Amino acid sequence: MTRSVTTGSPRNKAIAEGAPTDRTVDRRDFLRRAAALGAAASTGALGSTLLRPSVAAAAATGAPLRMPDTALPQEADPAFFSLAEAAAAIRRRELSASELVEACLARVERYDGALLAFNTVVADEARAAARAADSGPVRGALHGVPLAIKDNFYTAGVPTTANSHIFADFVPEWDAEAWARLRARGAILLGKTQMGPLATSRATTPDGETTTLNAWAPSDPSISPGGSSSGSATAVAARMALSSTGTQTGGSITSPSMAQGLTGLKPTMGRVSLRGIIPLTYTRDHPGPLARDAMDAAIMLTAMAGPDAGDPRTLGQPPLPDLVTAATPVLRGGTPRLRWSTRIGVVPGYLDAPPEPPAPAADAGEEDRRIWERRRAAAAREAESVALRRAMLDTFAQLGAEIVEVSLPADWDTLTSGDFNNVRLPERSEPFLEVLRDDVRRFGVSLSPWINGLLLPGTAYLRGQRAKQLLLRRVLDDLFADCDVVVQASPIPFDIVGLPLITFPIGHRVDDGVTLPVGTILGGLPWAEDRLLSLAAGWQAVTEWHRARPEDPAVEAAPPAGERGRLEVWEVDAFGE
Amino acid sequence: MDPLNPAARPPLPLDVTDEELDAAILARLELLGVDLSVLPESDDEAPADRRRILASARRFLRSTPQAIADFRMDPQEVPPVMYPAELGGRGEGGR
Repeated sequence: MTRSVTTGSPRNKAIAEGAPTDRTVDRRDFLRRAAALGAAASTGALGSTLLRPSVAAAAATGAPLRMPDTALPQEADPAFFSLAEAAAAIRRRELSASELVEACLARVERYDGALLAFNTVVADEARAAARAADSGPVRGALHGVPLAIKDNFYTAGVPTTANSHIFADFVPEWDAEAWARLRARGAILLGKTQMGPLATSRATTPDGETTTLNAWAPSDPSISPGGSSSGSATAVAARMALSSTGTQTGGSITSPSMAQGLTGLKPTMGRVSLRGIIPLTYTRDHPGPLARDAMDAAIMLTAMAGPDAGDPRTLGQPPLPDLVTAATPVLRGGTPRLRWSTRIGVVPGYLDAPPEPPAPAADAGEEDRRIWERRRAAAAREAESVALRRAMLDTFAQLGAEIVEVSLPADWDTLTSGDFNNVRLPERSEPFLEVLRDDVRRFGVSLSPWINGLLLPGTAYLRGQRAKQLLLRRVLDDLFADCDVVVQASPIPFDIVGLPLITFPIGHRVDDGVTLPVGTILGGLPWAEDRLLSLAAGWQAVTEWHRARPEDPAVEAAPPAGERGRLEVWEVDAFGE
Repeated sequence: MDPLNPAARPPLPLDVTDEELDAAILARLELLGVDLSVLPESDDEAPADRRRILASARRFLRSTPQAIADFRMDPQEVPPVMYPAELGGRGEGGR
């Protein structure tokens, strides 16, 4: 594999020195690619294969995947192993695939009636695959490892519903390219996970009844599991699967990962093929892993990524770097250090504690006092998160990072506003036009954004696409002028403009007696997954938050399905996907 | 003065009633062959009804198209280009 570089150039020197990918490729190239992708969506040049099961999937071998030789952990239950630990134990014959699959299925049997992380569990098929793995040659780096796959990834012979009436009876004949690559490395399908209908919200039935619970709050459905990859996050957090896949259009990998203490990685647009994944937005859908730590995320992404002739978005990208090495902690003089010198940019507001709301007047009514109490509690929670963010930045500084304040580019509030975000909606409506014409009731609770996408004028769509390119240019030129990564609390605008994000837990806080994880998000330059993983690995080398797991749920305390609340039409509109 | 970039003028106030917007929305959908009449008129127990879908569409139309139109862009800047005009030949999987 070669990279397009000029001999003797600074970039060539950087490659020779093992620099991260964001130092060895031209960010302008990504800008040109993004402009092209926006134009393609408006002309229909993409997407012709995305809903066509007749296109045969052929899993590529993908990038080399050199697995870490992790020692057997002290855990008694193999379902508690990380993916890297389990894969290494299976490779060394210290653990069988059957033992691992049975351990996960036992937890599914015990707890998923309450948590509802899965739509479908393929127990018999998983057991058969485990037996075959135990008796046959090692197929790949993920040999015998059971995974949970979001229910918008095609899985041959297994229902793929996207929690929508539209796909209620759909059983694909082929695998989504990303899942095919995981399976080709030896992974075993444990089941398909609950999601927001068509990837629009937290997980609900097609008609909006809340299903999946947050593994950290199994008795309180009002505490969101994060969406729309809710079931994937709950399955991994509750140790029912070793790792999982998700998709992100507007926060759906980072949000559930943050809500449930996981390491989630939304890669650069085009790193992972979208062929065989039910589309939401051509220019913004990103498949990626929700994992237990940085190493597991590196392994999952390495297996999923790579060029696919069936998805032109994946072609012509720089080669995938060695993500496993990037996610391996570095010691210098016996002290953990960051792998690469890194400037972490802090955006305005990230470290600002919210002001306490003014107390109600002496003659205020009971309702006003309740509202004030809620606002005060929310401000206190945010203040706890800010304290954790400060501690995190202090730790990164000790690891060798330079912390710099960065300012937001011009027109930031406008270009990242909900109105400009709505430019994605026609891309949602177009592939579903025939379904909309057939019967709008098939969209259940999630209908309104598909209708709104039909109403946006073409001029607004085009100007919105151009504005997105302008935003990307300003992010690359201005936001990243003095830093290598940006730390922030929200996925916006990185998932709008296709840049990579990683999230990982940085602490816990207690809300009304419930302990919940707190996470942060780092955004990077194009193809900077290696740098993002190196930062998460550095943090996780000196902290233990990623090892924390929720207590096993008291099944009888979980509210029954059908009594967990309901999603409203306006909430679908407001959700980020 | 650039003919494509005249002096800014404040956006016109939106003076469209709910009834006028509903008529425009339903006409647009009818032209596309999309029929909302299969939904119940107003039923809070239903996952979606015409009342809530039209309310969402009105909110959308009262905000998004005008907000985008109000953002002035130089026609010479960031033109969309045809995929894959600048693609291929770089790294793995290229041409």
